[in-house]
Amino acid sequence: MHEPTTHSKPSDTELRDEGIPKVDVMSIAERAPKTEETMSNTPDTTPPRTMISTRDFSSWYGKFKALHELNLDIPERMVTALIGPSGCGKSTFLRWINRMNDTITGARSTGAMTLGGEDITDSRYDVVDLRRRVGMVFQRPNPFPKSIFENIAYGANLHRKYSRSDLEQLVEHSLRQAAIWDEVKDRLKDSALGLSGGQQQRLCIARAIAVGPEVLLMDEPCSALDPRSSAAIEELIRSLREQYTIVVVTHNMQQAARISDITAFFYEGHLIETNETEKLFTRPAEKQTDDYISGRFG
Amino acid sequence: MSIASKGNELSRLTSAGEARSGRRRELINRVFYLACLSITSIAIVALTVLLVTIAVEGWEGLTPEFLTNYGSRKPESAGVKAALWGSVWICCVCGIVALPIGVGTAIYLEEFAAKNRFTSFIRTNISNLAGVPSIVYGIIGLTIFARMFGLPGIGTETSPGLSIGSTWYDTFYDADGGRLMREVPSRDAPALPLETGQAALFINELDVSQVADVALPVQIVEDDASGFTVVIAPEEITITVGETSATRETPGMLGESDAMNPRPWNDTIALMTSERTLNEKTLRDAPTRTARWLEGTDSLGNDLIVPVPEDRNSIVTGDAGYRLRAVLPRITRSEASSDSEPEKIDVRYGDSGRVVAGRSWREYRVAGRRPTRYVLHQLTPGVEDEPLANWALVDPKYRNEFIETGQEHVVADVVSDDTDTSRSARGTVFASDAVDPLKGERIERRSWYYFQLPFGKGVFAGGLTLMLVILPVVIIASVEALRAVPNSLRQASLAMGATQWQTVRQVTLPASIPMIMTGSILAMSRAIGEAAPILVLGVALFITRTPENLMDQFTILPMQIYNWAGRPGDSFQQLAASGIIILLVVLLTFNAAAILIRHRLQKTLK
Repeated sequence: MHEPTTHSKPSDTELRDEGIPKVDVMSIAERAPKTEETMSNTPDTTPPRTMISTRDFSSWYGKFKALHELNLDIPERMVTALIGPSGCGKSTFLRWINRMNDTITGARSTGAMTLGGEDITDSRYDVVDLRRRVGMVFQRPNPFPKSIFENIAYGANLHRKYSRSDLEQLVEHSLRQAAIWDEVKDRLKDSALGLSGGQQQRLCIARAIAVGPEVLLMDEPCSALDPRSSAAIEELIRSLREQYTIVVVTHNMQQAARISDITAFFYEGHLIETNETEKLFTRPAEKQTDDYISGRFG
Repeated sequence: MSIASKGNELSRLTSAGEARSGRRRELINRVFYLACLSITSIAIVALTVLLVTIAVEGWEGLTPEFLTNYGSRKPESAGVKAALWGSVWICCVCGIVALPIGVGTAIYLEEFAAKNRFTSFIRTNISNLAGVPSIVYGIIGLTIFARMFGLPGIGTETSPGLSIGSTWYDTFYDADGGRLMREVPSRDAPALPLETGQAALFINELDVSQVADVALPVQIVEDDASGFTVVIAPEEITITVGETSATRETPGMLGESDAMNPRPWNDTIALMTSERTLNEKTLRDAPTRTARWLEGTDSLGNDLIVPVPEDRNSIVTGDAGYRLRAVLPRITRSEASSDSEPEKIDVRYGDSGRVVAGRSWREYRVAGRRPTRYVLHQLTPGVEDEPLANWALVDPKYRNEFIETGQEHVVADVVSDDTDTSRSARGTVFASDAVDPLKGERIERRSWYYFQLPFGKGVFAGGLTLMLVILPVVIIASVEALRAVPNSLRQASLAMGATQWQTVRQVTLPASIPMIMTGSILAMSRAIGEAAPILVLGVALFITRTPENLMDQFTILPMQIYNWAGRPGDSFQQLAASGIIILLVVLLTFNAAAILIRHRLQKTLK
């Protein structure tokens, strides 16, 4: 039915009429019980569940203490922005959520960090499964030197064996959801390195969601992009919010204000303040926050 | 103080100092340019002269025959076929082994190993190993691969502890000289220390506790000229002798008949063999397979059956112990009886019981056409020295030469014991193909999958030695190639939940394989020009065939060239030049392949 490489017209329009086919992506990529829960909760009126929670969470690089006793709750299916000056530990914190810090020698942590109630700092916790559940988008777009199709299929193939048609569907829907399908549908076999920076970053987002994660971590996803591409990414983040828990690290306070529901302000490894974004930017409780958002330092 | 005054100060400072002469600077620039140009030209001219000289000298010799002929003593018929194919084999082995090991090591070091002091220690050492002279690797290769440290149980190069894929045949000759061959179980076959077409005879004077008739693929030859009866067996046989537990094992076989010196035992032919042969051949119909005994007939016609204990250390003796003598057989094209049926041999006791008369051997240098000839003389106390037989014995170091030229010489090295008549003489007899009337010869046919432990000085050991030479280079090249892969790609893969292996297999390795292949192939082309390690390994130079299995002997192009270049005479120099051209062509082919592969692989990434 679906042939993304040739694209017969009727099926194309048919799909577009459906809008963003998020359900399909989830059902193809992730058939875990979690999915059903996520889907049934879409019209949500109850207060948001906490997805990621830390209690007295500290982190070290060797002897340097990068994070000091953090207590932070990140709600489910919302965008949480982490802001603060350079070196304040927000990227470190982000990288603990999918344990990418494991690759750094000397990095260790104390305290608890839970994802959906499970302690993910436990060394027995399967890091491969964690990273499947927690996708990550990096500061600079880093597509593999493969074709666009292979880039998307790569992550999905790591965890499951797909039939060719399932895989083609998954690639198409992932690209659609990342709002890049129309731009690349005619050149899926071309190298991903031929795309522009903004397209590459959206490709990376599509690549991350093709694995079927629950959480998306974004480490300054727009800092290497021009304003127009940034706007596209921001738009994308807003649309993905309905389906994923998103944690964004950003230097750009306007961007944080535009895209996030919750904002946490980090300063020198301490979590100074966290609040709903609107409140934090209009009525900060702490003086340091006020100084930072009003541009007195940072 | 003001901005204007600061500006004035700056302009004063920038115009301070003396102005340099423009023409002088231009001159120096020009001189340096010309110097660089001339140095480069010298290098290029030298290289060109070298190549042209070789081309001019070697071009004439580059005939199709040069590629299809084997090495020869005559320059006009010499070729590089054996060396060329030897080089190809060696390089294949080297590459097939070095690539996985080198790349695997690099992947471990770069992707898996923790970045600690131990890892950096290993890295430093690998870099150091890349600088170790290749001749050192030759010695390592000789010890490890060719000999395997001479570990107990693993055997030696010539009698391997394990050999797979060889078939042994007993050969016999019918009256017309036709060859009859009979396959024998390879387990039964001791490895001969000799090439096909050669035979060995180990002679001993022994105290023999029992003599028996045995069925062996031996040939009994009556030598009319000397009156000797000659027993030839191609095997090295272990004989257990002795009356009690105080025994010794002596390699050898015995046989003698002495018509010239009539003695009580003068028509005795005594033959000893190992229990293994007995068990397999004579006692094929024995009640149990474990039973071992020697059987025979004594001089009175009585059957003798003597059980041999399991441990072979205490062969029960009969009444009379015998001292038997070995006689060097004369190997001729005699019209000998040549049944493949085992001979029944009479065993007779001597009258006097124990025979005490002994012999020893002495070498005489014969002033003849060949200064290296020896004749063996028989020394018997009280008996005048007489030539034992019409022997031409040649110093073993000339062996190859005689065999190669195909002259009818036999070669022996004889450890002689002049005076003490009670001691043994021991000898090895080699016969060349040309004097191949040896009966009962045992030959080995090796299949293409022949394998032995230790590897010996074959293609496999040679390739592995070269592998040692290039392994550090391959590792370093691969590490550098992996390091050149951007870390962000690894991070991206890991962040999607890929394992390290999945990341290596699908991201890192595909991105680095062009560089790895380039580095490895360049290392291989270094290997193909290496002579030193193979020289140390000690492979044969005169090879008149291409390798057929991994354990087969070989020679390589650089060694062949080295050999030719070292010989007097213009024709050999010309051969060397032709050989160099072939070597260069092979090298360039390798480099071209490297470039091609790199382009291919890079294109797939586009």
